[in-house]
Amino acid sequence: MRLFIPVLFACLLATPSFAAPTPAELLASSDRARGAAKNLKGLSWRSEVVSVESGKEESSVTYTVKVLGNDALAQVTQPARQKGELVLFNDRTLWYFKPGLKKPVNISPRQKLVGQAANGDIASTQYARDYDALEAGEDTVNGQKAWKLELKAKARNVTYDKIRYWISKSNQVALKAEFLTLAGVPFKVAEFKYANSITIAGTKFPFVSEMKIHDANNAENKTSITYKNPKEEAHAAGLFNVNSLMK
Amino acid sequence: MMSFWRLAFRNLGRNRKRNFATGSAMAFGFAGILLLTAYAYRAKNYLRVYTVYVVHTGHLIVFPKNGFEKFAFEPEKFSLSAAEQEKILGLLKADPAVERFERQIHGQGLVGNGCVSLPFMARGYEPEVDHALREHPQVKLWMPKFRYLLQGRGLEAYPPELGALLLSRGLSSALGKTRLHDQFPESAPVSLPDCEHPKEQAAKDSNVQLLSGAWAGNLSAVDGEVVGLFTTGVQETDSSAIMGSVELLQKLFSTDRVAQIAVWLKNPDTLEASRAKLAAQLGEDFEVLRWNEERLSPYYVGTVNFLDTLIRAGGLVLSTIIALSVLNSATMTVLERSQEVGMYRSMGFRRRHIRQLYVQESLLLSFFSLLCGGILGIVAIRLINAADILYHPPGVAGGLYLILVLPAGQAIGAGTFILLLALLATLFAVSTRLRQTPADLLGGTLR
Amino acid sequence: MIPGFDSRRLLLARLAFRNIRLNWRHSLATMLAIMGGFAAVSLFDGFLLALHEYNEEHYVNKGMVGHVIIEREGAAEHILEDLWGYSLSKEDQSSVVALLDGDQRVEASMRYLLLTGLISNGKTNSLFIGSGLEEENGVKIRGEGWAWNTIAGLPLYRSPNPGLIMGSGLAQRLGCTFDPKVIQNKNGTYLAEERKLDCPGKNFQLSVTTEHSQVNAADLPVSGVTDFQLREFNDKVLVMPLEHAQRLFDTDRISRYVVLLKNPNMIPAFVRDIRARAKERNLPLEAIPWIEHPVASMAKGGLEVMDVFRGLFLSVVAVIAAMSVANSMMKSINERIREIGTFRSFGFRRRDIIWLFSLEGLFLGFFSCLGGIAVTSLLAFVISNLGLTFNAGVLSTPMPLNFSMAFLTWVTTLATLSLITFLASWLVSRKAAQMVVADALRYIA
Repeated sequence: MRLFIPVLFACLLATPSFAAPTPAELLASSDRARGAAKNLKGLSWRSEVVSVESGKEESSVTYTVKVLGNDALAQVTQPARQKGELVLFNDRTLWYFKPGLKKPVNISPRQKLVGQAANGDIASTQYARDYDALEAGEDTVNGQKAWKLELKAKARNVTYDKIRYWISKSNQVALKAEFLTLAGVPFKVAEFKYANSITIAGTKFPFVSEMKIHDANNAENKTSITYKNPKEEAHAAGLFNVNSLMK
Repeated sequence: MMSFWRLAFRNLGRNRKRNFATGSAMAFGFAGILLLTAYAYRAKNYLRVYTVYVVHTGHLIVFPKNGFEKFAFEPEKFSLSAAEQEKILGLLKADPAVERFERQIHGQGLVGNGCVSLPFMARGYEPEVDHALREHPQVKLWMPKFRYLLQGRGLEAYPPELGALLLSRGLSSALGKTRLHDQFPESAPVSLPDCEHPKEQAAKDSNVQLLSGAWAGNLSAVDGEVVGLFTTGVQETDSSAIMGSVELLQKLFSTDRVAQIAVWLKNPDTLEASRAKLAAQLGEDFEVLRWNEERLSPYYVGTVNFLDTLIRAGGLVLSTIIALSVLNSATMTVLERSQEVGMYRSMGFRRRHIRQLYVQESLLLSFFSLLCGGILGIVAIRLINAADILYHPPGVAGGLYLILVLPAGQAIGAGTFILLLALLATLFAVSTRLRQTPADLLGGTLR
Repeated sequence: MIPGFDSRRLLLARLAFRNIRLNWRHSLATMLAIMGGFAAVSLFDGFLLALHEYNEEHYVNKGMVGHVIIEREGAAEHILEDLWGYSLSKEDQSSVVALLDGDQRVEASMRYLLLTGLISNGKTNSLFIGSGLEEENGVKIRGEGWAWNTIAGLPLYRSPNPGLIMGSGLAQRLGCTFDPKVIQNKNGTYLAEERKLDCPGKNFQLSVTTEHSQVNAADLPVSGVTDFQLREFNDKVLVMPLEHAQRLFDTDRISRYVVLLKNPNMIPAFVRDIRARAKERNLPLEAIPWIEHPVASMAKGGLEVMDVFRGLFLSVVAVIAAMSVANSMMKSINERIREIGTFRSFGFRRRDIIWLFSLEGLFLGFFSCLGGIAVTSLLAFVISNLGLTFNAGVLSTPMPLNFSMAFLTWVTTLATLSLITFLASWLVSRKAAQMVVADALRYIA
């Protein structure tokens, strides 16, 4: 007994201390919760994008989103007049297509899709691939402790040039993002909720359930993206081939 | 007093050289004024026809209230709904003064060839109206050499479901759409985009996609077929302009609304009356603008005002110089013939008889000179018109052939004005001399 | 003693001058006609010169076109069809810098990237054309007068967050509100004070097709609004800092260099030198004076139209002047036949008589033109100071009605009209000089 406490103490001392994750690791974790799951046969979910301007609902569009690696396909299911329209993501190249059109149209991930949401917002995020991240201290968002990162685009054709990103310390998911202009001034702010979950290799991970985006200069102009039924689902690679859209 | 006319005519032959010199000055001056007048007349009519017919402004344009200023900012709010269009078109159909009308729409977006997307600015017209305007007698009269299309056929030659489009030359080149719809077989397939070689691939069909924001806010796209090429005349806009049918652009913007309705009148002289009538029928929720209001046609109004000022100033200067020449000549004539005047006075001729004689001489000389000047002017105009001189005034697509058109009324008016000036100058010269007594005049000492 | 002039001719010149001086009243109407014609032509040319000076200031300085544009060969005609095919790479830019380096004639130079795309306020899209430019050098090109180049908001160099300078028509189309009235200083430049500018939202989204054919977009704030002089441009043109433009287009290329020289008279020599040196070094570059470049096509087109008027005017005035002088000289000669006879009997030759009257005609024209110069100067001064303006069709704001002193025109018109009057007199005096002396002495007019 006399030895128990010193041995216990020594064991405690010997316990390896867990180092803080690197910014790249944090981005990879937060990407997983926002649709960029690696080592899966594919992912699907439903997104509803509702835009409000000056307090009045302007539009509501529902998408079925399918993801495989760096590719994604977001197809409109509602409203009826837009049914069948889609946005195809091939890595960082985006195409817009709708039934009856003879060819797809090359568009930018930065262009406005609905309200405050850009084209690049509706599919999975690949911030780990697209941004260099620097630690910028710690902060608290809605009562949760978070790491603060400054993200700078690696390539010129990603959705945003710079992002200020808050990632939860407890479960390494993104809590908040400020999207910055070329001059470094916030023009859009997003907050995230994670009521969904997804199982990867037997382990359950949180998955985004809501992204609320508002104009940094006018909070009455906002768009919310609601994510429903995320699940692993196998997708053929041909689904994401732009030429298959025209057949 | 027939004998005075005969006398006046005979007196003209007494100093041929001087009369020739004076008459030449008058003739050339008048010819110059005619050339200026002919240039201005044609230029103004060319601009009028270009504004009213070629660029589809119409004689009157109906907007919703504040639509002219605000459509570009909020198209859905400041456009004409289907019900409003029906109301307006109903009134126009019932108006016997109306020749034709057209619903119009415009907007911007991206045009793609399957690989590359470029910005565009599009105007939507009704194809049949577009064709009728190009074939309008006024266009044939004032713009006989104007080529609307650089290549291809007009929108009216194709069925609506084709999505016929006219591209500006620069845009077609940038997109690689160098071959037109008619150059492909009837059922040629649309080629899949090979974005490694976008321009070569783009030339394999005449298909493009127009992408824009629908007025409801979502993205929207339509197919188009390039059927013709045109030029805007301004290099900066020649790489982005598109013309299509109203229906195609309405489909693109997902709307049944239009920006405005243009109206052409059978008789443009009834412009203000027609405008007032239509405005009264439509009420306060609409605006009816005249084509020649500065805010609607600033280029036309500014250019015409400028031309008018230039022509008036030039005409005034030339007239003044002519008048001084006539005064000079008349003064010399009267001085030389002082003794003759004295003799007439001593024989019992009154001052007014002497005045009448000289004025009739001047009238005959001026009339013949102006007649010669008129002939000279007409010959010069014909020669210039036949020379096919192309010049490039600012803002005119493709340049303009220098064609002069002489309006008979204005020519006669200018001639009459110069004639009156010449007579006044003569009267002035003679009256000064007639103050002398016959004895002084006969003495010949007053040269 | 004037070399080449013998005493006989000098005597004739003195006689001719005296005759004109003594008989000026008889020739008054002729002199007035010539003065009027001279004044008309000179005022017209003065107007054209003022127009050219106005265009030069507004294109070269305010519009930052510079005196000379250096760009890739063929860019002038084709760059808007193929922005990147005719642009200058980093290597080309280094070559241009090497060409300009150390050239004492250069006041400033600026890199310039042409842009086209769509701008959106969130509700509506609008096409834009414009440029990305180096604002620091842009201020040097604009000069002190036009450094402040906005009618509302702030110029880029004064903006804490430099973004876009838009044409007033484009800004209104996108929902910005500001007082469109342009407040100018006496010399036409803008009043250097920030005037209220309100735009919906702080940023506008610009969508473009990059060098690599990708569609890219960026959100940028509006710094200010300006008047781009031409109505056609005010609805479409915007300007932004070059670094934003290059970032937006994902490129390090530019479209052209614009060069401001210390003295515009150096333009032809400078252009020649640049072309020669570029050719020497096998560089595919072209140097073009601003007035020859398509960017100034509106100005050039306007001047071409005026030249047509000018040619017509000058021709008619020349004919009228010739006829007026001919008339006047014919009368004068007719009255002085006896005088001619007297001269001949003294030993003056026929050609001396012709020379005498020709010189009188020359002096008549010459002094009339001197009077014309006085009239022109007075009218030009008075009208220019009345503060009148006129709309010239394509311009967005009225132009001041000014007349510059077109000294070259004065000299050439004086020489031309004097020559015409000399020749007219020569023609009419030939017959009188042929008369037999005895007949001339007996002649009664």
